Amino acid sequence: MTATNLPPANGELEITLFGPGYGESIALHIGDGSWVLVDSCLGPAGEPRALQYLTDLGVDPARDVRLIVATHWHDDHIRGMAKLVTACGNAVFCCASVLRTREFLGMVGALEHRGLSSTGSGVRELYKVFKSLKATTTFAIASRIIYAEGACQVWSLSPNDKEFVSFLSELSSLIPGQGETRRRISSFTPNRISVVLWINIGDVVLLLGSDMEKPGWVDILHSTTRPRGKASVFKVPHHGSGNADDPRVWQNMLETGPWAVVAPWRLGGRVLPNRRDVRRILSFTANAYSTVPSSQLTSSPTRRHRMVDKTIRESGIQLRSMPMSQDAVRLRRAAGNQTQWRVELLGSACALKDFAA
Amino acid sequence: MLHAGQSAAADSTDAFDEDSGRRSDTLTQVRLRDASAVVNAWLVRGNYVSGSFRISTPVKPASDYDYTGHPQTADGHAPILDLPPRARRVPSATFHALQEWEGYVLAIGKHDLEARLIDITAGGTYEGEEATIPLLEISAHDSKRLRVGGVFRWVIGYERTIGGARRRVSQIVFRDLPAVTKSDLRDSEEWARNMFQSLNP
Repeated sequence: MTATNLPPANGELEITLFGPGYGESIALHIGDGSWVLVDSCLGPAGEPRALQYLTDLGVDPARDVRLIVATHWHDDHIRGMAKLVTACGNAVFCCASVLRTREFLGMVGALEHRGLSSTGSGVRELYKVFKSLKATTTFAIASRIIYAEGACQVWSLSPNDKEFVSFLSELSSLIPGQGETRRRISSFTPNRISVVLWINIGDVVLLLGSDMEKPGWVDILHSTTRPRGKASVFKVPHHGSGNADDPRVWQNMLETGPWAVVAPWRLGGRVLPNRRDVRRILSFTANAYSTVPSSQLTSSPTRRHRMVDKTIRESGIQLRSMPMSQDAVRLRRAAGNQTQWRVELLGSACALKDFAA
Repeated sequence: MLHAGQSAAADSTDAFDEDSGRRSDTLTQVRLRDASAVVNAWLVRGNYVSGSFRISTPVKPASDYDYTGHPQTADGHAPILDLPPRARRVPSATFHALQEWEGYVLAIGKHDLEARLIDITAGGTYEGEEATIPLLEISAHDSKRLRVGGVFRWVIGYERTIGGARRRVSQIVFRDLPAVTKSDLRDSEEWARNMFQSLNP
């Protein structure tokens, strides 16, 4: 067994952020062999990355995973979630409470229940999750404890009632009417109803920002019912994007110089975090890490039949493989406030200052 | 008389796999023009084949068809295609697909579009690639269907012309996915109702 595959000791806490370049997922050891998984992305073998990681550590997902949280249904946060839920049969499944409404389920049913295209989508993954769901479910809304075990409390800080109602009112536009041709919804942005998590494990606090954007953070900052305290670890929201940043989060909700972890994202020529985002995050903390360097975000296309490759070149179409690497940032520490986090960069993960080097 | 979803279409066409010499006989989609139930096109794996065939009774209104590619009759069977008499074989162009993707449009720019692709040839089930595709690659006919969320097939292969010439072809065809029907909505609502009850005990 390599050092990478050594499981944490029972008294040790761990947070590992997987970010293969497209998608992100978190594995969290809350002590005593219990794990929490947040979101899902795929690894190189096309399997949920977190599941593969736990198996490599010798952890039994069916027995040891206590909670799975789907923060929202964007493709990059939910791919492989149905497999994850199936494999972790002992886990409580949690998603935003708005997703259990009749209106949302009506949309999922209309879009996916009689779907035709083989093209996947986050909504389809969620449909598969709901269909295969046998586990206990819990639903997240602002300032709710969604899970508690021993010294660990998992709070959801969002979405709040205002976002809940506004989301429902927008849903009707997504439900196809009779006679309307089907399509894949890809432009709909559920970031503002994503679930931000606040996790207390004894004295240690973690803030997992999901893809929450700035207006949602303003609501969280103003909330009078959210748990107080300061987190030592921050999963930087929305891949480090400036539209998800509110400096008051760093000032009011995080310790000075927290451990910040980022899972980058790329679409076409657009990369998050961009140079300005990197500078901004580093202005708040030097302890910032990225699951991949920017150079890993552009992969060469898969090699195919030479006539296929030649035709692609001649057509002017630029084809890129979506990266699916083993890369991850792992933080471990002993429980209790006497120790510091120890960072391990797995694969090509890097310090954020080296992200664009 | 043959059932839709079986080899009816292949039997009536000259769709051959160039390598194996076998018929390429997977009927993947049948479109119905209207309630008179005229089949106006279908897709044989790697080959768009045009034709016009009458469906004999029993036939329900088009709105009640299951558009998953297997139209249903009142007795639960696929409708019977009454094919025209087999004509003398005439030479026709054939197409041999080397690579096939299904994609959907993420964004449309001034000169190109961004798309995510599933490699159908490799049996992929998740999007594993992204492409920037010049808008010039989209035919004028398909440009009407071009929209964010639009689903397309991209096929690269060889076309053998009637004269026997072989040429490489890259073709992007936007899928005109069938419209949502009354029965789709009914089924979806029932699914949603059941799921709602199960999630809100």
